[in-house]
Amino acid sequence: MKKTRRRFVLYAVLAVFASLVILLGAINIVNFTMAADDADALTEAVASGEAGRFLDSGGQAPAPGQENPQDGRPGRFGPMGTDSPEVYNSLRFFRISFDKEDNATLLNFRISAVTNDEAVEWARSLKKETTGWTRGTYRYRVTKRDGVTYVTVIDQGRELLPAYRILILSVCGTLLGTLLSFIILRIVSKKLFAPLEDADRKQKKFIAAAEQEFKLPLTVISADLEIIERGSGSTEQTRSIHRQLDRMTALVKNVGDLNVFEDSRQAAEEFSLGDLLCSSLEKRRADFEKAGLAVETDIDPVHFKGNREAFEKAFDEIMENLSKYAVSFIKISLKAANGRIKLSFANGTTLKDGVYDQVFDRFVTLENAKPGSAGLGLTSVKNVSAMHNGRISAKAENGEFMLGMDL
Amino acid sequence: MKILFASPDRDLLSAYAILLGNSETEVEKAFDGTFVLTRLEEGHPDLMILSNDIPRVDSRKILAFCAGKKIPVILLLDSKPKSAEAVENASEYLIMPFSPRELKAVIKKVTDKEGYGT
Repeated sequence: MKKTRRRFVLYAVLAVFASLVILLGAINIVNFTMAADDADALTEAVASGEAGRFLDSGGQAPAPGQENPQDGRPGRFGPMGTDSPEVYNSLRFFRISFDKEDNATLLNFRISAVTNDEAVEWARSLKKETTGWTRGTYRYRVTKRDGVTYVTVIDQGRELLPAYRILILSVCGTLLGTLLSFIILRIVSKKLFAPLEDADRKQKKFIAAAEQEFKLPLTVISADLEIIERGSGSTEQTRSIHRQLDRMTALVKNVGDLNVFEDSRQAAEEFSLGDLLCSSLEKRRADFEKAGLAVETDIDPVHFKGNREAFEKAFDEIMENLSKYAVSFIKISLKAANGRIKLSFANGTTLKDGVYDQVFDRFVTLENAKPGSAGLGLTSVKNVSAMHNGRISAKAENGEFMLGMDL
Repeated sequence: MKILFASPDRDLLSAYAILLGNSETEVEKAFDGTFVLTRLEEGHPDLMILSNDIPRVDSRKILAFCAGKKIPVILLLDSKPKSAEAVENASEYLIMPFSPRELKAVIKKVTDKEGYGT
C-alpha cells in the first residue's frame, strides 16, 4: 500500500507539472509571438519609410495641420501600441541600404550598442535573409526596391524584457508549484490513504489469523481420518475427505507463503536462477510429457542474488499454472542482457482482453480457471518479483498468453 | 520407546496417541509446559514432540532443558521459523498442517539418527 501511495503522489505531481508546463508554456509562446508581431510591425513601418519620414522631423510629433501617420487609425493595441507616434521616440535601430555593387549607405543610425562599421557588417550578414531575430533581442527586416537592399535592425531588448520576466517567473512558478503540490500531496495522501491502508492491514491480519486458525484443525482432521481409515478401511467418503483436506492444506500453505513473501525481506543469497528454473521444470516434465505438451526452453545459466526459496516456490507455481492451462506447448526463456534478467513463459492459452492484469489479483479466478484454484498462486509470484524490485506482466503475444518477469 | 507429546490441543494429542502408540511405543500426553518440565525431571523420554505454543513455559526453555538431557525434540510450529534461534536445540521441526505420514517420517528420521527403532 505504501508503494501505491508513493505512486499516487508521483503521478499526481507529474500531472501538476505537465499541466503547468503546458499552460505556462502556451502563455509564453503566445506572449513571445505577440512580441515578434509587434517587432515586425515596427520593422515594417521603419522599412516602409513611414517611421523614417517621421524621424526626419527630428522625432517631434507632427505640427497641427501636418500629415500624421496615426490620423484616422486606431493605434496598434491602443494609444501605447506600436503605431503610437511615441513609440518611434524610443526606437533604437539602424537602417542600411546596399546598392547593386554592395556599397553600403547608412540611412538611419539610432543605436549605441554597435559602431557604424559594426552595423554595416552586421547588416551585410543579414542581407540574404527576410525577417527574424538576430543576436537574441534584435529584430531585422530585409526589403528590396529598385535593386537596392534595405536592412533594418531594431533593438527590442527593452520591449522583450517583460516577456523574459514572464518566462522566468513561469519557470520558477512551475518548479515551485510542482514542489508545493508534492509537499501538499504527501501530506494529503497520508490522510487519503489511511482508511485504505487500515483496510489492507486488517485484511492481511484477518487472512493471517484465518490461516493460523485453520492449521491445527487440518492437522487434527488429518490424524482423525487416518484413525477412521485404520478402523473401517478406506471408503469413497474418506477418500473425498482426503481430497478436500489436500485442497484446504494447499490453500492454507499458499496464504502462508503470500504473507511471508509480502512482509519479509529474507536474507538474500547468490544462486543460479537458470539451475533453479531447470530443476523446477524437471519436477513437472513427466506431467508435461504425459499431457503431450511440447517443451521448448531457452535458459541461460544466469546468476542472481535474492531469496532462493521464494523463487523456487514462484517457479513451481508458474510451472503448475503452465501445465494446468497449456494447450499444446510450453515455452520457457531466461536471458540476461544489459544488466537485466528477462524471464518469459508461454503455453498457448488465450484469455479475454482486459483480464490479463487480473491474473495477479488475490483470490481472483478467471473464467477458465480449473476447479480448486484459489486465485493465489500468481499473486505470490508477483510478490516474489516485487520483493526483488522486478516487474511482472501478463499480456497477449500473437493472441496467446505470455507471462514476463524482468529483474 | 517412550514419546512425550506436548500440545495444548487435546484433540491433537488424543489422535496422535492412538496413531503413534503401539506395543513398542508408549505415548504420554502433556497439555502444558509445567507438566512437561515435571515429567522431564521425573523421567527420561526417548523422544519429545513439542508444540511451539505450549502454555505456561516458553517452548525455548523446554528445548534448552531437553538439550541438556540429550532428549531429541521434534518441534511443531504454526509458521516458518523467523530465525535459527527459534528452532535452536530442536532435532527437527514440522510446520502445521501436516499429515500423520509426514510426522511419522520425521520421527523415523530422528530415531534413526538417535539409534532407536520405531
